[in-house]
Amino acid sequence: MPVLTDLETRIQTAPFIEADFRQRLPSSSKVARATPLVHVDGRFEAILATPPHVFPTAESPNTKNAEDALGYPRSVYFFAGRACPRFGNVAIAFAPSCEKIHSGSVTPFDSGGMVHPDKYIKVKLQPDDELPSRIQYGKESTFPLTEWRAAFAQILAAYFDSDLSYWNGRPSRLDPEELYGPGNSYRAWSFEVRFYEPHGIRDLVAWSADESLMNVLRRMQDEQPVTIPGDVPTVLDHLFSVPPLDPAGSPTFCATMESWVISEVRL
Amino acid sequence: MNFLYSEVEIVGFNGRPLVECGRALPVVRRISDGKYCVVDLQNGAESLHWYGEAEANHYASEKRWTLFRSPLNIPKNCVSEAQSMTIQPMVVYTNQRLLDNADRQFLPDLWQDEYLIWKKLTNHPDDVQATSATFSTVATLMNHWAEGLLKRFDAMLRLGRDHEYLLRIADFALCAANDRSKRWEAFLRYSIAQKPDKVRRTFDKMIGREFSSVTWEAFIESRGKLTDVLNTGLVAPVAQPSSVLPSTSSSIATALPKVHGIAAVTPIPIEQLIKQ
Repeated sequence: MPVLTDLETRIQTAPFIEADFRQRLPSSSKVARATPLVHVDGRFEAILATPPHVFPTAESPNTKNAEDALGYPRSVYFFAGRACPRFGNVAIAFAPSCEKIHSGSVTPFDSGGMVHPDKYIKVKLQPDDELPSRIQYGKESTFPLTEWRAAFAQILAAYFDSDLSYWNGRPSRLDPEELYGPGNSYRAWSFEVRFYEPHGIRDLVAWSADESLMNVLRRMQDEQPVTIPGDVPTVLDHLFSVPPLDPAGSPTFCATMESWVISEVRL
Repeated sequence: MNFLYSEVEIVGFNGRPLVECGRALPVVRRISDGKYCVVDLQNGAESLHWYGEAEANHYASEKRWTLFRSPLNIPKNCVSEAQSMTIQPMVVYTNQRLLDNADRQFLPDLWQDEYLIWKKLTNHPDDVQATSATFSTVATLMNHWAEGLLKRFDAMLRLGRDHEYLLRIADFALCAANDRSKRWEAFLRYSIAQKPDKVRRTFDKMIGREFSSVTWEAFIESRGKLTDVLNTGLVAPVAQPSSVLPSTSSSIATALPKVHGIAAVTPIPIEQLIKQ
C-alpha cells in the first residue's frame, strides 16, 4: 500500500511529527469508522421506476476499461464521505454497516483517474509513469473492503493537518510518489469504495438532489396511487421516509451532502 | 487561485433539463488549455476541479452535463474590478411551453440590469433555451415566471378549467418558484388541484418538510381560505415586471397575510387578465 508503506518509519522524520500522529490517530479512527459511503447518480428516476431498484454496476466504457486494467470485477462506486456533482443529480449516503453484505475493494484515490490514458491523477512512479506502472501502483494501493477504514484513519492522522481537511482542504504532507502533490485535486485523496454487486437504495440514511430531480420525484409521487395503510410501502414511499437534506432541492446538493457528512462524523 | 473572466467561457450546465424550467451550476471551459469544470464558488476558486476534453465529452454523452450549442461569456456582474470571477454565476433554462403558460412569451434580454444572451442546447429542441446570470438575477427571473403561472392558475380556476390542467400549471409554478413565499403560494394551489386523497401525502412528504413550522391543520386552513377567495372571483392585480423585486425568505407569518390580502384587492375582470 504505497501511501502507507513504511509509514511507521516515515512518521519519525520531518515533515511528519510522530507525537501528533499518535495523538490524532484515535480521533481519526472514530471519524473513519463513522464516515458514510456516498454515491452520486444520474439515473435515479429510472432506478426508482424499475424493480429491483438497485444501483447497477458501472456501464461507462472508461470505467470498464479501468476495472479490466486493475483486475476489479464490475462495480458500484462510492466515495468515503465525498460527493462530486459530475456524477449526477442526486447524492445518497449509506451507513458504514452496508458494507457487510457486499464483496468489494477500496483505493485511496479515484482508480479511473489513475489508469486513464490522460493521467488525470499525477504521480511520480519508478521506473516510469507509463500505464503498466500505474496499474501496478493501483493494484498495490487496493484494500479489501474489511480493512480500509483502519487505513483511512492512518492516512487522515498522518497526512492531513486535521480530519476536516479531507473535505475542506487537502493533504499537507507529501508521499514518495507525490500522489498528494499540489498538481492533484480531491480525486487523488478521496477514498473510492467499490461494491462488486448492485446495491439497493433501501439502506440509505441521507440524500440530497438538485431542484429538477426533486420536481420529477414530486411528479412521480403524485402519479402513484395512494398507499393503503398496512400495504408494503413503495420504493418512493421508502425514499421519502428519509427526509431529503434540502426538501426543495438545490443546485449545490453535493455541498449539502458533504456538510451533512461532516456533522455526522462530528467534526 | 482565481481565474480571470476572460480566460473561461460558459459551455453548459451541470445536470440536464428534466423539467420545463430550472437552474443549475455552470460548466465552464478554460480557453488556454481546454479544461472544463463545474463552477461552484462556495469554497473558493481554488477548490474547483478541472477535467480534460475527453472526460467532458463523456459527461455530456452520459447526460450528466448539458452543453450549449455555442459558448457564453461569464456574466459581467459576476466579475470583480480585478476581472476575476468572484460572484457565483448560475444557469437558468426554460422552454416555450412554460413561458406561454406564464404569459411571458418572450425571453428577456435584460433583467435586473444584467444583459441575458439565450443559448439553445445541444441535443434538445430549439424551444429549450438557457442563459447565465448572477444567482439573484436567475432567482428573480424564475420567480417572475412563477408569478405569471400563479396568476394563470387563479384565472383558470375561476373559469372552471379541469383539475388536470390546473395541476400542470401549479406544477410548472413549483418548477419555477424558488422564493419561499412563492413556493408556499404554488404548493397551496398545487394541493387545490390535486386529487383530495393525495393532498395529505404531498403535505407529509414535501410541504411539511419545506415549511417545517406549518402544521397539517394550519395548511388545510390556509388552503381552504385561498379556495374561498379564488371562488369568489376576486383575483390579484396583474403585476408589472418592475414590481417583481428580489424577495427575501418570508416566514409563514408573512406569507399568510399575502394570501389573505387577496380579498382586499380591487378585482380585475377575468377577461382583462386573460388577455394579458
